[in-house]
Amino acid sequence: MSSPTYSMKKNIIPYWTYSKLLLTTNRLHPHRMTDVAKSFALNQIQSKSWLVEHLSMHYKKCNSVWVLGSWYGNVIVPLLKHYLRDCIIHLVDYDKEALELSNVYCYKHLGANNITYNHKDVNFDMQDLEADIIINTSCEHMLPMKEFNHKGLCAYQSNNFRKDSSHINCVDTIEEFIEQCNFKKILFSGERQFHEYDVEHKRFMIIGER
Amino acid sequence: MIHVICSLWGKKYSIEYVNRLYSMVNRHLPTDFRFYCQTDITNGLDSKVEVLPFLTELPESTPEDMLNSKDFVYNLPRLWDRPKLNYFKPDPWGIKGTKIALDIDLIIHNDMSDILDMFSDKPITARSWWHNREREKEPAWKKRFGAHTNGGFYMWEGNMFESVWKDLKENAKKIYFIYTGGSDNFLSQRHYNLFDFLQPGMLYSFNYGCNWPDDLKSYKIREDGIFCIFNTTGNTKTNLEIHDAIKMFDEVKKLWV
Repeated sequence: MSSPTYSMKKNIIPYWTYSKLLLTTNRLHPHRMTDVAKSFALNQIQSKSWLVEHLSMHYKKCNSVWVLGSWYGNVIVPLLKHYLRDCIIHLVDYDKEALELSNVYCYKHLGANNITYNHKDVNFDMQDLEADIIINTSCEHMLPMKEFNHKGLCAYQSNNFRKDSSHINCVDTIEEFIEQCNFKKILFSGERQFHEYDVEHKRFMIIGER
Repeated sequence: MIHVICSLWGKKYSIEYVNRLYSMVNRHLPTDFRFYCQTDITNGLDSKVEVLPFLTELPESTPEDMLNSKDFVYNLPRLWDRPKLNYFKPDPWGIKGTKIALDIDLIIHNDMSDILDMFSDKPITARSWWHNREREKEPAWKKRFGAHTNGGFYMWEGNMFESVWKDLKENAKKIYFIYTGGSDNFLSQRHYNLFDFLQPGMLYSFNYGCNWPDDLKSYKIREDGIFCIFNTTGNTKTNLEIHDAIKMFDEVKKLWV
């Protein structure tokens, strides 16, 4: 492949690789096209980059990062590759097809080698986890994080968007989210607008040590 | 001998639904049977219906405990039909042998022999054949822990539900929290491959039809069907519960006896 141009080098997320992801999806799992398209919507890019940018201010040394509920990994993996460099990334999702697509995407189209793909249901199979960094951007889909024995620098996101019936564990405030997470030390907490089109719904984020 | 079990709790349905279910089973189950109801409502119950208490081995599973838990989603307790989970206990209430569990808000209008004939080495439940199976493949379905099965009917014996009961004993509170939609969602997402399914047409939905994509007419009794269920998704404008359908459709009223 010819070398990337200056403009391409400026992009932390190589959006041109999404073309390959969509083509792979269309070939392997065409019923997932809409879902893949949603995975790089504005709010997904904003939330993941918000998380990794803040995270990068707080980690000292990182050998391993676990991403719980990693979906296709197409936004967070390029960000982690950029900010955490040589760290091994462990992707976890209970959605086998999503994980299969993230494997093809990360390995073939992104050229990322240091990744493991773990087909597990976080709610039932990931009770105990110790790592340098643990990321969960889908806490609204899962049991409260205090139910898990996580040890390490943790970055969690949730929201108050209850209209989606898959959101079984929304929180209304950052205080409620903090209460759900059992941090020993909080390094960052904050909130952002959840959608681009309304101010009512919010995404919450906490980074801290557990 | 087959043991037929149903459950009644809350105020939505009365004892009349249990008595009529007994009557329909009596007409359409072509073998000896005993009929049980897990309930604490007994006034007016047909003398042939044996009362079973709500079991307490699963936490917060009795109607009273479930309602007192105050952890509600969309105005219902999380996993709102917890008393039905007691069916999965090995030999529940000490009842051994072949068992059938039925919801009380359904109609049986044909002979059940074909179902007895298909029962072999796996438990049977109903598949929601009226669902669009292409849409069921979409990720959104899995994300919201969607159900592919319908627990209006179960048939089983021995320890066929051993793995389900083990899962419930180990993870009950997690399961309640996650599967807010009910036991169908739990079984569809965690134990789907355990089951054989009633064939399309044996059990159909009055609201959604019989079999996708060609037989989806609503509000229609299928003459060859065995069970007609009245499942809803909360859309009260178009979904009829059994008490609505009885009032609005004479052919339903005639069968509910």
